[in-house]
Amino acid sequence: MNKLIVTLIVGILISGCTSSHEYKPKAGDVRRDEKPSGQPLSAQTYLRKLSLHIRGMTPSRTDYDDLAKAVAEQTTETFFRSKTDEYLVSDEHIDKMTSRLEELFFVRPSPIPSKSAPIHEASGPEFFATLDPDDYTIHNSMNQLFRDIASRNLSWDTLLLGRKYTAFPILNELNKDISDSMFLTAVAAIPAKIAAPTSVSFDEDDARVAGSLTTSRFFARYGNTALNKNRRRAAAVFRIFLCDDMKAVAVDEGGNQNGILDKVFPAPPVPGGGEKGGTGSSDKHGSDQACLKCHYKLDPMGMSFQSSGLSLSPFVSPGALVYTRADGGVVNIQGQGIGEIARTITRQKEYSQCQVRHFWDWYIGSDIPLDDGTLNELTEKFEQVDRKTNDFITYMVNRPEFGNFELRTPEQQMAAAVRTVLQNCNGCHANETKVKIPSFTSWPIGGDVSSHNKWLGMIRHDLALDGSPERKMPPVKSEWQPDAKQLDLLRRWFELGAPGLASEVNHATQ
Amino acid sequence: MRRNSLILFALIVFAGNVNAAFTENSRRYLHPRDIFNVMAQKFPVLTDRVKLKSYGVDLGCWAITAENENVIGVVNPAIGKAAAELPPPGFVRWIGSCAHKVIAAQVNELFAQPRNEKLFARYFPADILKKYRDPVDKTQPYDKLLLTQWGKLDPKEQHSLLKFSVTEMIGPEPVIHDLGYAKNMNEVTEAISKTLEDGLLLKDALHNILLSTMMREEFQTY
Repeated sequence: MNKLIVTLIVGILISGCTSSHEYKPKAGDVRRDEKPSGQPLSAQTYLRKLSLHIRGMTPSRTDYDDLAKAVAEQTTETFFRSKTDEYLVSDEHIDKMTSRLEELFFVRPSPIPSKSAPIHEASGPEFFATLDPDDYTIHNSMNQLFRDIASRNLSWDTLLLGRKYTAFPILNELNKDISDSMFLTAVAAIPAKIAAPTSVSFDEDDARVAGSLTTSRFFARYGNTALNKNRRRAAAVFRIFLCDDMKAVAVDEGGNQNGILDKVFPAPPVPGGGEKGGTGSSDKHGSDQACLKCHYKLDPMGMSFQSSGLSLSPFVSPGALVYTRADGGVVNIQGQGIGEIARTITRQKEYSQCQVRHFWDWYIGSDIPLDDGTLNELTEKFEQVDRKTNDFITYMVNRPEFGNFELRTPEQQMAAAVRTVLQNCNGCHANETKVKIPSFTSWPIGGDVSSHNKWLGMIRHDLALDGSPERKMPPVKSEWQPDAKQLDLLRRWFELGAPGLASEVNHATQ
Repeated sequence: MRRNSLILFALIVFAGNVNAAFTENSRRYLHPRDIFNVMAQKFPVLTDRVKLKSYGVDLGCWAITAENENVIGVVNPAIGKAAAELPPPGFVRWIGSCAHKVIAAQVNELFAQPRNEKLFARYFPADILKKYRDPVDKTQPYDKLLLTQWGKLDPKEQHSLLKFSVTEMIGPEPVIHDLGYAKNMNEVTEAISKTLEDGLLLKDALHNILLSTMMREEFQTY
């Protein structure tokens, strides 16, 4: 009997198409998707959301008890203000913000929830002897910068304008490339091998340094080659600070693969010149018209990293910040070094809007569209609080989008309901190995509008919602089959032109 | 074996609730680090690595490893996204397995510290602690509590323990209502109570209750 139970359980658990995950409402139930849009959360739910979003933990029993008292005394506003302040100075908030920044910078996260206390500059080898080896990965200037921004409520600009670093001893293979001790040797009066964490500061106008960009962790993550010419680093700067992810342009060589390879690996010049060897241009890739769409931005910024290879150079490299604004205007500002370029970036409207978008994604959600009006409002507030990190977070968690049930237009509500149905398809498709089927709940499906429309056409056809005689999906043997209500929802949604995509595309392409 | 069957039954019943996406949408699942933080918050044994080793709790139940990073939704630093858009079947296996081990370790800690009033107060409401405190042996106040049968608690006490556990693990009544996966607290406690047989010892009943709450959407989402 027990063998039968185990077999049954295993069968269900490993099945990619488990029984319908759809909530089956009973009379009087209110489905989560049907919660009144824009209505405030209860005080207890708001407290839970506040605690989870700021510090990644639920409120304690004492927190809820104190809330109950505040509700009784009608002092909830004061309570929440005080609770927000308390959460923002917690170690857990510092850890959570550091984790968010690690993800933003595309660096490997620390494997364990860090319980490390702030770094003590005076600590010697005995401090490190108490650490778990996994903790070594967090002891580097980049992570220290992340932690300082959260713990000391520094301006968010510190990510680009920070001038204080900490070099850590090299203790093992895990921190060798990111400890900053050898990275800073050439520019600071510290020996290559140090026994204890050592502070290093630079002048405010030092053009060689630029906060997180001139740390060994950033350099290690975005390694450079003679061919790459710091474009990888430049691309990271554009993605993180200007929200320009520069999707690679596929160069059409009419099927001539050698043509593409020529661009990437140009033929070496023939001694004495001549046709056969070509011009010997070392940058045919960068000068191709299609490639220029990204390279006109990447190359000038890449030059500002040029003098620094594996470690920070004592010499500046001139470069430029070049890009085209949404209104067509061109930004083209020279800088003596990456430090000047970083400062220039912080003065751009696109930078402020991009950083505000990150906060929106973290505290409100990347699936909640951010319209232009709200974006402008947030950006204005970002400036008003002098871009101070925790002050801006306090503002965000007091916005209606955070404290209410999700605000949705009827169009968005319908799209959300459609997604709830379509996610049943993901359950089976996730296990499909022969054909790559994108997620039907991540819009635009397939990554762009054209792909989205193509897939919607197929979904409509396979569900026989376009008048086709036979429904092909889901397969007859599938445990999930859409019911009449779901099919009716999808039919109406298609007839209305599949609304709900526009806001997703706007958000995805910002 | 019977207890294990019940636990596995609970896994099936509540594993069916794991749906929707890993990525942020209307059902946002906890970030992997938040899962670990919340677990450590609810089960303090997770902060003692020496004890975890002795109780046989895998590294993968309290740290990101190469084996678990894809199923728990860790953002891949190469592409800036999690490997899976929605919790794969592996996520259910991971959280079920880890919840089982972590709770077992924590219950063992209760046995190891029968005088620790603060520790017991995390898992039992005051009315039960008051009633089952050993009046004679003050040095072992809760020695017998864990070995009491579930059926020996009167319905009011059973409900008190269930409600206390759900409140501690997820939140009070308004939170249950607002999260919307169940209408109210009673719906949740009734569902969990169906997995508890009268003959279960309280240590096992507690295990099942905590496991059941951890497998619910309310615990796993924001």
